[in-house]
Amino acid sequence: MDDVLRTAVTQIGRGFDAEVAVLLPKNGKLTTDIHPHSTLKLEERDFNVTQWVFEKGKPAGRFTDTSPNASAQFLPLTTSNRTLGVIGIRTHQTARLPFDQQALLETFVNQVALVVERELLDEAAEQSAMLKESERLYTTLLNSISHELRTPIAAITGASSLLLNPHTQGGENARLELTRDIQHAAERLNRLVANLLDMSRLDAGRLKLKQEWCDVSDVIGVAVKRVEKDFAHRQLIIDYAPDLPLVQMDFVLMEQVIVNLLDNACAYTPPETSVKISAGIADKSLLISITDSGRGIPPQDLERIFDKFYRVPGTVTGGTGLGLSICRGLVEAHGGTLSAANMPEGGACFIIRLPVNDTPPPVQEAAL
Amino acid sequence: MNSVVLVVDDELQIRRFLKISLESNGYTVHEVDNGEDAITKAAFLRPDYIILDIGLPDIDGIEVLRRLREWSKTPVIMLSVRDTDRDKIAALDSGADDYLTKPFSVDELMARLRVAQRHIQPTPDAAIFTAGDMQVDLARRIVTSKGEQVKLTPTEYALLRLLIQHAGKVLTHRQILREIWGAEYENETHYLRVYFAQLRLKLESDPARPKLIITEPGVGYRLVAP
Repeated sequence: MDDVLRTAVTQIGRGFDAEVAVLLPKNGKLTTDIHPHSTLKLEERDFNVTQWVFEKGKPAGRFTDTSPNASAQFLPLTTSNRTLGVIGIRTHQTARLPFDQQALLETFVNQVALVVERELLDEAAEQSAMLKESERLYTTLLNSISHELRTPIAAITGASSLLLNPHTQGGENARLELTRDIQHAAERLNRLVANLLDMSRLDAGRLKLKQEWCDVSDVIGVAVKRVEKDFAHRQLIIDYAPDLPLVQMDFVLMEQVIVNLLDNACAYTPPETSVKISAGIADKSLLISITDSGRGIPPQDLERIFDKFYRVPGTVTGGTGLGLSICRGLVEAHGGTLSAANMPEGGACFIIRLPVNDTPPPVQEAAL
Repeated sequence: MNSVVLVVDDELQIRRFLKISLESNGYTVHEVDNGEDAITKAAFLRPDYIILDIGLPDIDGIEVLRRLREWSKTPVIMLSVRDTDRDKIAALDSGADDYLTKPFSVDELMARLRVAQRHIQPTPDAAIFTAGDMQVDLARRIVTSKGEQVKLTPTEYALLRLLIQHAGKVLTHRQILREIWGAEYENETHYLRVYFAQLRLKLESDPARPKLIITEPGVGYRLVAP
C-alpha cells in the first residue's frame, strides 16, 4: 500500500507541478492523519473540507464551488461503490487547471483509487489467511495439549484409584511405585503448564526482557544445577574460558533456554552418553553450545525441529513439540540466534549466539 | 512444647498437605483461609512461624505481610503459584523470611522452616562459621578453604559476612547492594555479578558448580545453611 501511494504522490506531483496529500480512513472514519508519503501539508480549515469530500464522494476546495478558500483542491478516491479516501492537490498555479489537464488529473486519481482498492482487498485476504493459520495452530495446539494433559492425568487417576482400593496387591513396594508414578505425572503436568505460559507470552509479544549484565558462568551454573537429577548417571562436561566478560541478557530466560536444551539432550540420547556445554566469545558474539553424543538429527529436520509441534519422526514420546520453538523465540527476543547442527564425529549441537555490543560499566569497591 | 505454625491458604488441599506434613514433623498447626483472619489469628495466637500464600481471596498476601510486619517479627514463609521474580522480590523486600513456589516438596518446606528457626534463636558465640570446605573466623576475620587461608578484599569479606549473618536465607540484590554499597547503588546488580564470581573462584572447590553461594535466579543470593 505504501509503495502505491508513494508512486501516486510522486507521479501526480511531477505531472501537475503540485504538492499532494493522501488521507485514508481508519476503521471507516477519516481523521486528520495525513499519509506519511504526502508532500502537501494541510491547514486546520482544510479538514472540514476533506471530511465533506469523503462523506459526499464529490470534489471540493480550491477552484471549485464548494469551499473555494481551502488551501488545496480535494478529490475523492472513489471506485464504483465506495469512497476509499481523499487526495489533496495544490498546484503552483494561481488559476484552475485547463480543462484537459483537470480531466487528466481526475482520470489519474481514479486509477489510483482502483489500485488502492486492490491493495485493500489483498490486505484483507492476507489477514483472513493469517486468521485461518492462527486458527489452525490453535486447533493443533488444543489437540496436542489435550493429549499431553490426558496422559499424566490418566496415570494419576489410575495410580490413585489403585492406592484407594483395599484389594490392590503388591504390598508396600507397589504402593511406593504407584505414588512415584503420581509424582512423575504431576511433574510432567507442571512442565507442560510452564511451557504453555512461555509460549503464550512469546506469541502475544508480551514478553518483557529484564536485560542485565550477567555472569555467563553463573547462568550456566544455575541451569546445570537444575538438571542435576537427570544427569545423575551421565557425564556433563562444562567448558568455558575463565575470563568471560559480563554479557547483557535476561538471566532467568536464558537459564531456561539452557535448561530446555540440556533436558532435550538427556531425553533424546542414549542413557550414559555424555553431554558438553561450552561458552566463549567470538566475532562480537557470545556463543553457548550444548553438544550431545547421540545419533544426531536427520539433516532435513535441522531447521524444522524449531517449528511449533514438529517432532522428528520416530522419537520417544513425552515432548510437547514446543520446547525448541520456545527456546528459539527467547533467544531471538534477545536479538540472538539459536541453530542446530550435527557434529562430524556424531551427536547434535545446539548453538546460542548472542550479540555482545557493549562492555559492562566499571565496578567499585564498597566504601566500608 | 511443639512450635506453633499458622498456615494461611485458601486451598483446602494445600492446607491439608501442609497440616499433615507439619504435624508429622512435630509442629502444631492452625489454619485460616483468608487474609483478615490471618492477621487476627496471628495477633491472638502468637505463632512461632507463619506460612502465608500470596494469592488470598480477600487481601493480597504481600499486604497481609506488610500489616503483620508493623508489629510482628514472626518468621514468615510465603507461598506462590506464580514463578515470577517480581512476586518473590516484593515478598522478600516486604520482610518475608523466605518463599516457596508451588508445587514444592515437604523436604524443601522443612529446610526453610529450619533456617527460619535458626534466625530466631541465634547461637550466642557463633564466632566460627563452617559450611562445606569453608571456615570463617568472624572474630579474627580469617577465611579458610580446605584448611588453607584465603585472601579476600574488604568488599568480598563484607559480602561474605552479610551472607553468613543470613545463612540459608535469600537476600535480594537490592538488600545486598543497599547494605554493602549504600542505597544509591541499589540497582547496580552487575557489581554483585563481578564480586560473587570472584568469591566463588576463591571459595568454591568447583566454581562451575557452586555449592556454597547459591544464585537465586532473578532474585538474589543465598549462602547454604551450615
